[in-house]
Formats: sequence, structure tokens, C-alpha cells
Amino acid sequence: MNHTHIAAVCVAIAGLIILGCSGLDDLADKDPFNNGAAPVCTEEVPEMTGIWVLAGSGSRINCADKALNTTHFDLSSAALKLTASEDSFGNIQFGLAQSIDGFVLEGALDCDAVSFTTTEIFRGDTLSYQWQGEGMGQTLITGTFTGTGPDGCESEGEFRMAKNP
Amino acid sequence: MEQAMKRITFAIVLLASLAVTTAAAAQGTWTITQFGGSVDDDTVRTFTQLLKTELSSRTGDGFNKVDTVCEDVACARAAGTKGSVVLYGDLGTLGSKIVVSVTLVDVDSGKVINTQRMAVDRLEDLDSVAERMAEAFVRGASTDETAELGNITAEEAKPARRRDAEHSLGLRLGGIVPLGDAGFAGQGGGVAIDLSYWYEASNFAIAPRLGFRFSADPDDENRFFELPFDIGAYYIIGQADFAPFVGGGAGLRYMSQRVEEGQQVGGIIAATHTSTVSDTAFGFGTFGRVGILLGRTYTVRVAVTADYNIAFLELNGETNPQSFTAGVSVFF
Repeated sequence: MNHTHIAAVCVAIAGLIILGCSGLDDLADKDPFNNGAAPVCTEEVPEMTGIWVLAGSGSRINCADKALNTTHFDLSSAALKLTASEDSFGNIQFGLAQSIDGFVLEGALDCDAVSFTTTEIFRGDTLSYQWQGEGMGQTLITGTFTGTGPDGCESEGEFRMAKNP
Repeated sequence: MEQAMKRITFAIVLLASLAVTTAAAAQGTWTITQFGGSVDDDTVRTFTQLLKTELSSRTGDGFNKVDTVCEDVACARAAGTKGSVVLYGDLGTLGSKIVVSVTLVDVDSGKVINTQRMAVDRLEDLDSVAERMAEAFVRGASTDETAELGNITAEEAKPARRRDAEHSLGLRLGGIVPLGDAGFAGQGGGVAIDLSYWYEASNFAIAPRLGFRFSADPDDENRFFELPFDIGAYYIIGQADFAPFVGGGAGLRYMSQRVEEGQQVGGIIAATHTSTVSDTAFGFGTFGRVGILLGRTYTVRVAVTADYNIAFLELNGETNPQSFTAGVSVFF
């Protein structure tokens, strides 16, 4: 084997090495369990499946019934049994585990960012709330909400949603 | 021809005289007796002449004057002539008044056709009396119906006397107890104050009233105010110093109330707060009252009263608030 052959083999080996490293990088990005979806969450994600209870406070304006306008109301909820599911892209949706007559809850997780909506029929009027929160561990979510109803009311406030052990 | 003319002329004259006689026979005849009384003779004569003149101008009848003073129908009939009517009367004094009484009688039947009486406080009005009485006798009316501009007597021009009554201001202090849930902010009671003008006669009283009812605790978040303005009428039993009375009244009501209410929006997710709800209303109201009037024979009197009240209006969706009020009134 002469010098030319040795040089050619070195160049080939070098080329293979270079090509191989670039492929590893791709492999590193393409986690076989992520399939090209959102990055893996580094924060602790709330475990939405289970029984959660809402609490909070807010204010309400522009109600047709003046008695409902207030600078402060207290918010509380019944125990809500939720269930979560993950789609093929790893996105987590959650909703009521059992349907409640006249009440709908739908939401989604984006790592520790929680957003959901509730719609309730109360005395013939529709109450809608939009909730935006952040997970504080697996069993606590805090955030803010806005809402509409009944009959022209507009509300906003802060909430805290805790999971029953 | 000449003979015929004489006969025609005689017939004409005969017929004319018969017409005159018939006309004369158709006129009535009045007999006027001598009027009596305590008034002086000159006045009596003057009045009698005035009366005769007024009657004559209205009827064209003949008049006979007799000197008999009659005080009754029998005397008057006897003084009159058959087929005529007779007048008898009297001018008497009563204090400063002159009372004139005149009666017209039918001689044949003895029936009183008309009788009139008028009182005057001065002699100068007797000519108006004569005019009014003559008109009354001719028309078969009363002297009240013959009044006209120009023949009103001074006595008639005076305002009629009326019985006076005791009138005074009244102040009542007491309490109010709501009956039912409507109109009084859920309060158990309050203060009642009334101002009235008390007009009291022997057996009845009338009292317009302005009232004020309000919550006993002005700092309470739930409070009410009522302002009744009405008139009451009462029947008073007895004239002594202890006199029960009963009555009622009606009028206007103004009411307002302020109530704190709990509010809830939502069932599964419930938002709760407390709101203050206020409302005012005007309406019609009535009341019934029983009471006891004390010291009736004094100018300052006291009354103890109890009322049932109802206002026909709506406050915060509740209708017809009712209440019971009681208090002590002083009239001075």
C-alpha cells in the first residue's frame, strides 16, 4: 500500500466521520418519543386528572341587573372531577370526567401554562369564563380569569385551583 | 131702514155692556183685614197699603179693606165676602227684628191658599217684603222663590250663621310595627310621628295629617321611610272627658326602603357578593283608627290611638306594605 492509498483511506474515514456526526445531531433532535412536537417541558406539569376545586375573587360590571354589579365577589366551585388526555403530538387536553348538566369545561396544558374555559347555564342565562393560569407544581394552579354573563355582565379576577389529595 | 139701523145700534150697545159686565164679573175681589202686631200703626198702615198696591198691580183685582183684626182663618172668612179671598196678617217685633206674617184664605172653602213669613231688621225693607209677598201670593210660590236683584232685604244679605267647632294642632308620637315582609326593609319596627290639624265638633272630628315613619336604627344598612299625607274622619262617642272614637282615612303615601341582599351568580362555579338594593314609590293608602280622647272638656286634649295602615304600591317587587302604628297625641 503506497502513500496515495493511505491518504485516500484517511480522507474517506474523515468524510465518514464528518457525515456521521451531523447525522447524530439530527438524531438528537428527533426524540423518538416526541415525534417532532413541542419541546419537552422542563417545569413540573400539573397532573390534571383528578378532583380539582376552584376559588378566587373578582369584580363585575355592566350588568343589566344593577344588583349584580360589584367591586368584589368571592368565587368558589363544586369539586370538579377532571380527566386529561394526550394527543399524538404530546399536547394535553383535559375536561370533565363525568358530564354535568348545564356545565362544560374544556382546557389544555402547554407545559405549566394552563388555559381552560367554562360555560354554565344559570337561571336561563349563559355564564362563560376564560381561565389563564400557571401550574405551581402538580396540584396547584393560579391565574386570572375573565368572564361574561349573565345579561350583559363582564367580570374579571384571580383564581386558585387546587387538587384534592 | 131707519128702524133697522136703530135696532142694530141697540144690539151693539147691549152686547158691549154685557161684555163690560162680564169682564167686571171675571175680576177677583180681595179683602184685606186690619193687620195686628206690636209694630206702630203707621208702619202697619204703610205696609198694608204697599201690599195692596203690589197685589193690585199684578192682578187688576178689586180690594176691600176692613178694620177687623184677625188672628185666625175663621175670623178672616167672616170678614171676607163670598167668592173672594181674604188676607190677614201680623207685624210683630222680636228684639231688633220685625217679623211679617201674612195668610191668604179662600172665603168660600176656608182653605188657606198661601201663608208667608219674612223677617227684616229695618223698616226700610218692608217695601221689599210687600213686593215679595205679593208676588208669592199671585204665583202661588214662597217668598224665597220671589227673590230678585233689587228686593233682597238686609237681613237676607247677612251670611248665614254656622256652628263653630274646636280646632287645634295635633302632635302624635309612637311606633310602627310592619305586618308582613313588604316595604319595611325587613325591620321589626320603627318610629312614627304625626302632625295633624284636629277639627272637632260634638260627635265627629276631621283631621288632615302628615306623618313620618322611619327605622329606629339609622345606622342599620336595612332601613325604611314612609310619609303618609291623608285626611281622617272620626266618630266620637260621648261628650265627657273620656270619649272613645273610631274612624279612618285615606290619602297619598311615599315610601322608600334600602335593603342589603346576598347575590349569587352561577351554580357549579358560584360568585357571591352582598348588594344594596334601594327603591322608592308613590301610591294611595288608607288607614283605620281606634282611640280614646282624654280631657275633652279642656282646650288641651290627649288621645291614645292605634291604626292599621296599608299602602297600595310596590317596593323591590313586594306589594301593598301593611303596618300597625300606635301612639299618644296631644292637641293644643
